[in-house]
Parts: sequence; C-alpha cells; structure tokens
Amino acid sequence: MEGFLPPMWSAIWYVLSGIVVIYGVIQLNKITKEQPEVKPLLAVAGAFMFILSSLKLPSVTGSCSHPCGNGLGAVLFGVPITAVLATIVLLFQALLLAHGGLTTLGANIFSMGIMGPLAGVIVWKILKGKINSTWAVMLAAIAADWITYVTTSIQITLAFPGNDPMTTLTTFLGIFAITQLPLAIAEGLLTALLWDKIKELRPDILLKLGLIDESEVPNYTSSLNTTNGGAE
Amino acid sequence: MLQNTIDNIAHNNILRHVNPKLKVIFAISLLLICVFSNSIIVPLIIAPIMISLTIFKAKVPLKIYLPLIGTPVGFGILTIVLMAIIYSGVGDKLFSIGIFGYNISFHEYGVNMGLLVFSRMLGGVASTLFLVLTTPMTELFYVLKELRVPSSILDIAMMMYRYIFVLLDEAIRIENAQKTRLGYKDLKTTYKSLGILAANLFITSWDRGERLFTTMNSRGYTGNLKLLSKIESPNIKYILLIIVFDILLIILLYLTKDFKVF
Repeated sequence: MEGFLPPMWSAIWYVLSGIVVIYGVIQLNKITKEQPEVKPLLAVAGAFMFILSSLKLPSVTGSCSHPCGNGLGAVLFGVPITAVLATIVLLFQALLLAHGGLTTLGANIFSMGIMGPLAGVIVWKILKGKINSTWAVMLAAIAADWITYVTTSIQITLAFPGNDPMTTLTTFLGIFAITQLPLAIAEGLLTALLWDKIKELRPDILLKLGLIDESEVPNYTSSLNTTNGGAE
Repeated sequence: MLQNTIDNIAHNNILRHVNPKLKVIFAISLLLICVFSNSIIVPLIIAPIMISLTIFKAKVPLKIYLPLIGTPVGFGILTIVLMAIIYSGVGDKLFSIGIFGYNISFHEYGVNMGLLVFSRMLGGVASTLFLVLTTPMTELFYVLKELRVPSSILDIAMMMYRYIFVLLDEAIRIENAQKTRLGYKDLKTTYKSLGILAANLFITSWDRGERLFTTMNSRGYTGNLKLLSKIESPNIKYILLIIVFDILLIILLYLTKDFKVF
C-alpha cells in the first residue's frame, strides 16, 4: 500500500530491485537483437500475467497485490526477464487498479519479481526431468507464491522492527506465511491445471522453449511423425 | 471490471486535458512529501486537498472514488492495531481492548507510529489516485519516455497495455461461455473452469503474440517502437506555483516534525 514503507526502506528496495531489473533489460536487449519476435511475445505474456492476477480472490491483507503467475513466468522466461515483466505488471496494477503503489514498487518487485521467481526456478531446476513436469510446475508455483510472502514479511519486519525484531518477524510470518499457504497451494493447483491443458493442446510451445521432453507428449510427437511421413 | 473503470475515468474527466507533465509533477511531489513527513499534520493537509481536487475539480464519480479511497482507510486501522502489538510496552499506556480473549494494550509509541503510517498512506493514496484518475496511460507513456525509461521496457509496457484489454474481453467471453455450461457451480468445477480459462487464455495470448510480431514485421519492425509526437512543456507559471506550494508544505513539514498526537 502506498506510503506504508518509510522512505529509507523504499529507496533501499528500489536500488536492490533496480540492479536486477537493469540486468534483465540488458539481457532482454541482447535477445531482442537476435530474435525480435521475443518482445511482442513477452508483452502479451505480461498482459496474461496481469489478467491472471486480477482473476483470483483478493489477498487477505492487501499490503501486496496478487503474485499469481510469477512462478509460471519464471519457469517460462527465467528470473531476470520475469523481474522486468513483474515491474511492468506491478506498475500497471498501481496505475490501473490502484493496488500496491508507486513508493512501494521497489519492495514489491523485490518480493514478487525477484525472490519468488528465484524460488520457483530453483524448485523447477531441481525437479526437472525427475518427475512429471506438471507436478514440478505445481511445486514451483507454490514455492514462488509462498516465498513472495515470506519475503514480504521480512521486508515489513525490517521497516518496523518493533520492540524485539524476532517476535515481530514471527508475528508477520504468522500473518502472511500461514494465511498465504492455502492460497499458494490454490495457485499451484491452478498452474498445474493450466500446464496440463497446454501440454494437451499446444505441446509445441513448451517443446520450443525446451521445458518438457518429447517423451512426455508421446501422442503429439507420434502424430507429428505420421504427418511428416504422409507428406513425403 | 475495475481496471476498466479507472481507465475510463482517466479518459473522461474534467482535468483530462490539463498538461500531463504538470499533473505528474504535482502528484508525485506531494506523494514524496507525504512519505517523508514525520508528523501526521502535512499528510492530513494533503489528503483533503487531493480528495477534493479529484472529486470537485475532476468530477470523478463518488461511486468509483469511495471504494478506492476506502482501502487505505481500512488498511490504516489495521496498521494502527498492528503497530500497537509490535511496539507494545513503549511509552505510557493509553487504553486497552480485549478481542477474542486477547488483551491488546495501546501504548504511546505504537499508536503514534500507527497514526503516522495511516496518514502517510491516506495522503499517498489520495495523491496517486489523483494522478491515475485524471491522466490516461498513453500520456503517462510519453512522460516515462522523457524520463529516459529504457525503451525496451516502454515498448513492452505499451504493447501490454493494449493487450490487457484484448485479453480481458477474451477472458470475460470464456467465463460467460463456461457459466452457461454449468462451470463455476461448486469449488471443484470452479477450479476446473479457472484452469481451462487460464490455459485457453495462455494459448490465445501466445498465438496473438506471434501474430502481433508478424503484423509488426510486415510494417517494418526492427526491434524498437518509435513514439513520434511529443507533449509540450507546461506553462512555467504553473510549475512555479507548484514549487511554491511544495516549499510551503516542506516548511510546514519542518515546523511540525516533533508533533505527536499522544
């Protein structure tokens, strides 16, 4: 919420997030030079993230708007690019929905655009190839969502340490992390359903990004082979 | 939906044709003054100014404005309780209330802190709301461009802004189609329906993204979008007025920095 953080902490989070976002922009520019089709694709993917985040139930506390989709974004595009996308999505949420805010933008980017996706990518990298990709994506989305809120509680504790920082941290973790756990699982379920449907309908997108192995979609691969055979 | 209303109001209000740079400078400077304030006085002066400007000058309908300004009020009350809990025992005890068997006592320091954060949020949200309800996004893009925001961020943001509304229409259409076919009737079907909706929306967006590239490519796209027109600079008289007003507030900020309610 606008004005919630003291100016010093607003500035600190702006600087920390800024470093990662600038790194993301540099990477993005590099990719755009080789593949100009990436930019429109990312723009539409970002719009999708925005719609997804306005679809779901409102969060209990309201200090941070819904992080829905940051796990999926991280799995699809990696952390630096997701940070750039999250920056724009959060800016739009502040300007079009009056969620979040301009002074707290840095802090929100840090929790939702950087720490959450990082957790998601780590979970995804560990599990990739070991279990069914749908399960891996589900766990990555849960981790991303949940770590986002753990980061938020740490951020609030740093801004308002209270009498005893440890008790304050446990209070905030209690408020955020525990109430957010069912919501994180809900997001995981939704992401898994989404992923499953994409795998069923358009596995070529996921194959092109190198996210799933061909062995996971045997029907698609075999149908591709037969059509090729027919054409010859 | 809500984003539609804010966007609509931004295009249809009395202050729509005031120079966007002027509105940005005014709103952002007051927002910063609110955040830097150490007492509740200055934010509580800024909040009514911004609220009355938005309601009476820009003629934003109350039906839309009240829920938006209501959020920080509700959240602010929560914050006061929260600050009372984490800063309990500092300063004199003011009063205490019992909720669910717990006894929350409100002490000086915590209540003052809570009120300060509350006033900052109220002033800050009122300032931001003034900006977003009077200035369309398209004009803000020009301002962002002049602030030297990296062009790749701006390109993506502009295309995203366009596609938010395209996808929103699509999402509403899919949702209506699902509802007429008994989607969302209980928790299980709600999840199933939402999953199908999100997946179809994802696939549609992916295809649209690829098609967007094709259409832009056929019009000579090389990786950068070009914004041609410029917005003119506002009248220097108004800028000076804003600066004088800001300086007055900053002086007041300095004079009232030790003010405490309790």
